[in-house]
Amino acid sequence: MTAVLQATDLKKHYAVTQGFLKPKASVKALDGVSFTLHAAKTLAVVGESGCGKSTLAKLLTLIETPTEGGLHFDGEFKDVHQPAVVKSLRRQIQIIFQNPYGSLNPRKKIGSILEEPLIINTDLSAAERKEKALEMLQKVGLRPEHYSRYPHMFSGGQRQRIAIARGLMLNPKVLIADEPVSALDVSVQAQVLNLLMDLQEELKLAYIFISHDLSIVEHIADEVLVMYLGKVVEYADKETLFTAPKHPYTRALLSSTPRIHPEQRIERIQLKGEMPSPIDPPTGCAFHTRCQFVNDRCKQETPELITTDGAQIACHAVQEARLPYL
Amino acid sequence: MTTLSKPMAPPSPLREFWSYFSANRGALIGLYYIIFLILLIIFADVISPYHPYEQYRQSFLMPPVWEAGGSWAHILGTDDVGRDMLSRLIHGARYSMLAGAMVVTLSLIIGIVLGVLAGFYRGTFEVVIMRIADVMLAVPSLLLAIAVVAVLGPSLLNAAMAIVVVSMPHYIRLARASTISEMSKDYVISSRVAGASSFRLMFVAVLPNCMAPLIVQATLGFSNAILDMAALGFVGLGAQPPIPEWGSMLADARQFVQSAWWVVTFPGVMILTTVLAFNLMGDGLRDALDPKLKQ
Amino acid sequence: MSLLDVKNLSVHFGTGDHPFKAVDQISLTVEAGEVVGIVGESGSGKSVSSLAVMGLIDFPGKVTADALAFEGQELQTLSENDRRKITGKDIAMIFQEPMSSLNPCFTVGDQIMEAIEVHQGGSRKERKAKALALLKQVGIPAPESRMSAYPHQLSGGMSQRVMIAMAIACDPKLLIADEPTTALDVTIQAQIIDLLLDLQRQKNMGLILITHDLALVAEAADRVVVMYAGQVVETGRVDELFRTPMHPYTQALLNSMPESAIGHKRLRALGGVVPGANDRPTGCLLSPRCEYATDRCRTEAPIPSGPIERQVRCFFPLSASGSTAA
Repeated sequence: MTAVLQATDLKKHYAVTQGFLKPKASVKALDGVSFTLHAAKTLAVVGESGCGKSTLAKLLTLIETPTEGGLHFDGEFKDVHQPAVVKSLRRQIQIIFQNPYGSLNPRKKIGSILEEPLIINTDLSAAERKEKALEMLQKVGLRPEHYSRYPHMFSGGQRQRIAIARGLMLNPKVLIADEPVSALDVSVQAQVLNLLMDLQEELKLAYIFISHDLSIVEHIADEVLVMYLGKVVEYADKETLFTAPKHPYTRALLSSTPRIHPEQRIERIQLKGEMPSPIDPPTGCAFHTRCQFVNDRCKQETPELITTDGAQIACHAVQEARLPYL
Repeated sequence: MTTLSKPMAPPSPLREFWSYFSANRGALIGLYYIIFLILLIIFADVISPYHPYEQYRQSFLMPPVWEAGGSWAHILGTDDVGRDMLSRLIHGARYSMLAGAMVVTLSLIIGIVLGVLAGFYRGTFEVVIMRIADVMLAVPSLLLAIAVVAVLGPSLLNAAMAIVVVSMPHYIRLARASTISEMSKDYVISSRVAGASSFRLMFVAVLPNCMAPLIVQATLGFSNAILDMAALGFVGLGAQPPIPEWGSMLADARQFVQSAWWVVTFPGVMILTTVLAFNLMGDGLRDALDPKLKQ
Repeated sequence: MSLLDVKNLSVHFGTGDHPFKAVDQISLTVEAGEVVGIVGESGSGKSVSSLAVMGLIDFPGKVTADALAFEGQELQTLSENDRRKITGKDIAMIFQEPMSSLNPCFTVGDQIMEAIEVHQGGSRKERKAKALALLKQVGIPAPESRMSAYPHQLSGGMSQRVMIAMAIACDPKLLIADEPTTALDVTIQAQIIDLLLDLQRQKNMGLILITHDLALVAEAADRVVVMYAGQVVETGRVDELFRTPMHPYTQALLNSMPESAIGHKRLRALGGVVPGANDRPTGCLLSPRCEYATDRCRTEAPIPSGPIERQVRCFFPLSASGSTAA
């Protein structure tokens, strides 16, 4: 299995002004994330709002440069501070967004939306570009006559297909999907998920699938990265994570996800309170303020990601084996 | 793979725009009046019965045809040196509209460039541009225009330049505000991910989406420019005699307000109707272009 | 006598030759202490019907109903003032966007106290004590300091708790929750749903839970009403309806959920989209998307049939094995 994209210890710290004459604070939006993405596989990134998944997407698409850490693409180290490297990587890593109503330029026809990446990055003639765009429209299940229409004439599901088509115009190897179906109705959501899986099989695409919905993640992912307040708390393959979740936060997420069939429900672990602000993170384990297995060590010492039973987990309670098994 | 869309006949954006615009009767009247003016300008030499500068010494201050003493030779009468009012008004439309068009085009272009740059780069550049704009807005516009003309010397062109300077801050503010709100949209980020240059982002991706409020402002700015132009002409800092600019015509005829009402009234009526037409059309454009007012 | 009894409620929008039926002849009963879930995709009319019950449909919308009774009292014949007395005090409502449902200019305490004042009166001191008690009841930490907080200082979950506090301020007998957790993260969603259900049980309220999330309804509701394009297509007890759906639409919705496709690569997606205002088909509204549709379905509109506790709007309801009876 070949690794397409490898991230090592990615960090992104922002300086924020807290007010007039107050010292600037540093927000650790992303604080040391590492993973390996293989060709034709899907890595799901799971977490609640504010956990750093969108920052991760911005770093991976090179919209922003990491404060620390590096990327390997196709086994080669890439210096993301060099414009030439960024330009070549951009063709390989593309993104689709959550809101299909905001991600397409409302003043441009579908044709020119699809062809824009080609105009910027290739020397193809107008006729060749059109041919490619039409081919891609068909691939995502739209019709040639849609080429000359405007985004507002399409439903949410169709727009998401257009966004996917645009993302694939440069034949990237990695597609980052930032909550791609959470704005869609259930039945349309299934159509788009099917399309993503078909395209993955056909084009051997690797996906980074950012989502808060664990039932979708369970369906589409091969590996899952659970994030909390900018840090990875659990990183495991799908089977391990869904059959034996270990980190208390993963367990809480799983138990909070509503299920239709009673036999799939697990006993609700009610989390206290809300995620703390990243401006003022708690000491020790970031999760300790809401964790029911907290002890003094958790409050002081930040847990490291340690491989336990085939999963990487950052939790003192798991290391010390003081978690009850589910 | 299944094709999921259903056949439908989507209206083209232009047709959709027209259906909204034409629903507004005032806007239509404004548009028709402006088209009429434009035709007048193009065919001024053919339509006008006399040359605007030609003086008919046998008929000073001749009243319009329906007044006692009027004649079909000069339908709207003549002014104090015997020039035909109708011909002067028709040619005057050229100067007013031309000045309006020049002012709007120039201030729109400069305003857009500065505003989009300020909205795109933020930081120090933005602060400098915006504070200058704020200062310019704090001075009464006519006063500022008079100051500019006083420096450059009175002429039609210099008056137009002065109005460009005065009206620019509005476009800068508007362009900056819409750029900032558009910059946060996902489509801009996806263009960046595709590798678009800053120039492409600003003027190909973002600018077309900021145009609606700017177009409305430009239409309303057109009427403002005509008004300011007339005002500068009235105080003698705009067009110089014998140019038949409406504002200076008004100024030249001031002393006849009581004895020969037509010399003052007709240029005034032309200014009023033209400004009204542009304002009506601007309102219609705003209704048709502002997506917030649509269902 | 039911708490709420709605018979053949319709809501029309638009005028002249093309009135658009946003809600088409729906019937609904809610008993005291019962949780009724209304599920449907966007455009199904689920929110409009609850607004119609509350009397919140403005011109040009037109509401008609054979019966719209609250505790046996017909609401349609009441004067607007009398009706507002009931809908404000005995029926309360919470909305999807907690942030925009609170007035940003007033503190949380002011807004709760105003809600108490309108319907119960009392001195300022009494109202303040009551507001404090309510904040405590909905699980807001440090309620004393939260009383003087402005809405923008609260997180989404906290705002929704404040909304719930305002809704239960007058001890309503019926609470309508319109997508109360859609804007929230999963763990916060779980907290809010648990809170709503706790309060509902304590106060023996009727609760109408409107959502697009089938799994959420499956976990929280006693009875379910499935809506499609303004019509009720199926009603039934939650366990029966989800175990053996009788309407093809319910079945298709369930099939398109990722958790129904565990072990399958593809989801069984329902093609097409919910028909809009101008493209409602003749006959059964689902017929263009339904895999079981016959010529009769395409020409003739079915009416709800079956026992009152399990109604289906379909000519060929599915049997337990999942195929049509015909």
